Amino acid sequence: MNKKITIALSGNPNAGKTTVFNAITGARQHIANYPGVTVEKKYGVVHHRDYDIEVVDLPGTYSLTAYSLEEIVARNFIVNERPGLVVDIVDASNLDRNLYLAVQLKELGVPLLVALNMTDVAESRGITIDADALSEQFGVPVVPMVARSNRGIRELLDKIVEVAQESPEWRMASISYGMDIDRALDDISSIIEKSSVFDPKYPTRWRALKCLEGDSQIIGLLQRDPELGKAIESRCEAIYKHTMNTMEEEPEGVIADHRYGYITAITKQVVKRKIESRLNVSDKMDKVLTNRIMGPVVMVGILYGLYAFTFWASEAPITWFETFFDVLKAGVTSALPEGMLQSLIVSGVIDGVGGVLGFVPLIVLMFFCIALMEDSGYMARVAYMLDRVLRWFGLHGNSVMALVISGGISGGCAVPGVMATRVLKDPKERITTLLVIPFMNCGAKLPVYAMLIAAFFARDRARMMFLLTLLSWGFALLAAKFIRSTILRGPKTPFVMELPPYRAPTLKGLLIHTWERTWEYIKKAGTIILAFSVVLWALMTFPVLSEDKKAAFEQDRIRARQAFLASPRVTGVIEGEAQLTALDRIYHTLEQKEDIQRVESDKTDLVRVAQAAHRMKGMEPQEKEVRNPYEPVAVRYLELRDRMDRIQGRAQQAALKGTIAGRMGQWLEIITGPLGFEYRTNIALVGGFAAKEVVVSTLGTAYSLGASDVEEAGSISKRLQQDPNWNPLQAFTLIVFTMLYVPCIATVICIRRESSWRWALFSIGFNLMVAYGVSLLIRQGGLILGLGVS
Amino acid sequence: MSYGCTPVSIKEQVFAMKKVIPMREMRKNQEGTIKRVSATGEMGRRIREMGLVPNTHVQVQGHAPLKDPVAIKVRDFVLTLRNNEASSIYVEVDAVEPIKVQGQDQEA
Repeated sequence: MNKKITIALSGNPNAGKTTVFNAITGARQHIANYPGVTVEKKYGVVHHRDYDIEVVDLPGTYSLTAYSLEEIVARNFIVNERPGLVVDIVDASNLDRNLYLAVQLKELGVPLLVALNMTDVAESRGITIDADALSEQFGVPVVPMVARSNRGIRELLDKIVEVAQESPEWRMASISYGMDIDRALDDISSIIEKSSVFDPKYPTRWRALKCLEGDSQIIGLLQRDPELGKAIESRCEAIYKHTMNTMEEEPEGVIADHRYGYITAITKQVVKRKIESRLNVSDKMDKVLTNRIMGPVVMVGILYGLYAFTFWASEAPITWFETFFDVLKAGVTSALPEGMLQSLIVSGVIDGVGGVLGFVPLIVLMFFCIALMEDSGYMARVAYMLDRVLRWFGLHGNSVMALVISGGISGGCAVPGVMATRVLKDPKERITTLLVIPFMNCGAKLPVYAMLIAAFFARDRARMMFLLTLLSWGFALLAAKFIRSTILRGPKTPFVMELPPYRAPTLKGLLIHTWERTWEYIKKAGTIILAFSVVLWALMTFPVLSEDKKAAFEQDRIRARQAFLASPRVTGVIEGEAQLTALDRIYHTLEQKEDIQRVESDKTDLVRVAQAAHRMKGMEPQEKEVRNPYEPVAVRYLELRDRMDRIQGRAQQAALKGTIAGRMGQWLEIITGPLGFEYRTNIALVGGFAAKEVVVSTLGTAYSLGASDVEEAGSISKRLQQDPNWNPLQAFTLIVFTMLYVPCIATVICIRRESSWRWALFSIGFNLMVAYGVSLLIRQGGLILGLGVS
Repeated sequence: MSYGCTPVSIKEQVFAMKKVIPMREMRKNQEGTIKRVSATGEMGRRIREMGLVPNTHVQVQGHAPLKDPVAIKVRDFVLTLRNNEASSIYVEVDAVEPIKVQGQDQEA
């Protein structure tokens, strides 16, 4: 039986915590949420020397205060779950600031181990750290390591087991914060110990310290005993006045200063600097990459380069996926008898899910590019360069992260984007960011764009995507400005942000990042979208056309065929319905480019007619000069096919219009008429509320059902290209409407979780209004300018 | 560690040829030592937890394309601050040349 131990990983953002976690747990990772909040909790189990070590990855933080959700989550986990050991990942090249968190963990008293990561980076900058001396001075075990190249991981695990065997007690470090604060700490500690809310789970002196720091969570807990609350409050006020008078600083500031004083005293002894190298590689890169003139130019270039690359590289795999689903569809069509089941699987399931999965290569590459920007440290530079602009629109430099993840570089997803708004501390800035996030070009909108661009703007793909990115940023920013100057007015919050050193991202890290997000997308395709495709298929199938209407269309068909057989020239060549059916089959075989001679060698006349018809199809009438007696028949036959197609189209259109979805779509035409959207587009847009990808799959279903010949129609792009109702203006209006109109269900639910139902519903209404207004302007403006008239 | 500050406005203080100015007025590549952080509340905490406390050496690394925020080098890493935040940090600059206080640009 193995012994079990739980350890928690803590550390600053960018200290390599994720790399350490990945190196320790490998693929054995699980992701969940911390109870009650939406902060992601990653954990994994590793077996080492008779021990099952459960590793919990705490959120990356700089501190352990009550100001941010992540910090509260981290310290609540430590206090309530009482892990056997906290491993603090410390960036050796940036020791002072990283130890600030370690000091606070020491204050809390939890058994602590410092993993001194990135010692190679430190050394390359001429910084040498005496790990043993640090361990002695700081009073905790220290393990030097380079997690990126797996150096020191084994030693770290050894040390963890070693510490676990001692099963150390919680022991609060005694750090002096100056005489005044120390005395106040003693006073408050003794007050708490005697009170009714005394809780051995929390170290008392730590709680006293938090009171002096004005920590709302801890003070709130203590105020459950009103008398105690008052006693503490008066003590805190007294010390506040005292420090303000003598040092012009709040107690909180004095405490922070002393923590750094404590750290500096240690690091002075254990850190050796060879050369005072002022400019490291990262700084040199910033000279260009954040340069006033070059910076923005390079930024635009990098973003544009990422699109160009993504589209170029995903083109071939997307074709493979399409081919795969076409083959699958053909297989199912021939394997299953014609009827409801075949229709459900082909039109509902394969079209729906295939349309989404077909874009997986694109999504993978987009996510890869985003991971590349994040892991390399460039994303923070984008926030830095754009903060001044975003601030003008009432947002925060950190909003960039949320906006970019949501699709600022096309291909993100609003769901993690909504979650990324947690880095924004000010509720007004956060809600504003939440409200404009759905305007960004998330990965789910890309299939819609890609389909319409392929149909109408095929020559300008990269340029068009770039334009759409600029548009979505423009709309998001203007909407933010509007919201911040009307319903959510208020001051701006601080922008204190680290520019992490540039790092070559590890392939493993990139792949894990990319895979996590792609898997999220595929899961969505397999669940929400599959379910919705089936529901939509049902909405678009039932109620079916009534029998007498069906019979009426059948009558039309029979009449057309009889008229064909009875016409001059045809009689003598094709006799009777049986031969006509054979001709249909031969013509179809010919269209499939299969060998006719082998199959139908005995029906030479019919083959000649079919060949002539096939050759003449699509020719102008004047080109069709008669060279042999089969050709006039072929002309007639083509006319018959046209008539049959039209009847078929009318029948299917009638059927679709009669269904529930058709009625909804038609009813919505009253509203969407000025935008030029007819009922099929409306049905697709309604479906898009589940997830934007559904817009494409529904358009696909709507048009393949209504199309004259499913096999001939080919891809939906080609189908729309041929439709007289569609032109570049109409396509562009739909693109912009899709960009703006409504967040998907998953996003709405996330927005609700991050704010309230009120804001979630507001977001739907607000988005719809903006989308309608903008699309109306585009469409009507375009018509006035005479655009889009084909 | 000393808090050798008097209640008089630090801005006016002159330490033997060295001048204490708000960080906002520092130019690119200028270096100095933090003497006081006047920010309180959340901003004060954020600034301090990143290591901007008295007696810390800082160097201005550069400004964003629109001159705001400012990037500074402190304790082996690079930190960005908005100009109004930098205004609350008073730095004793290592003045080798007479300091020209540049025009107060940006937000009013």
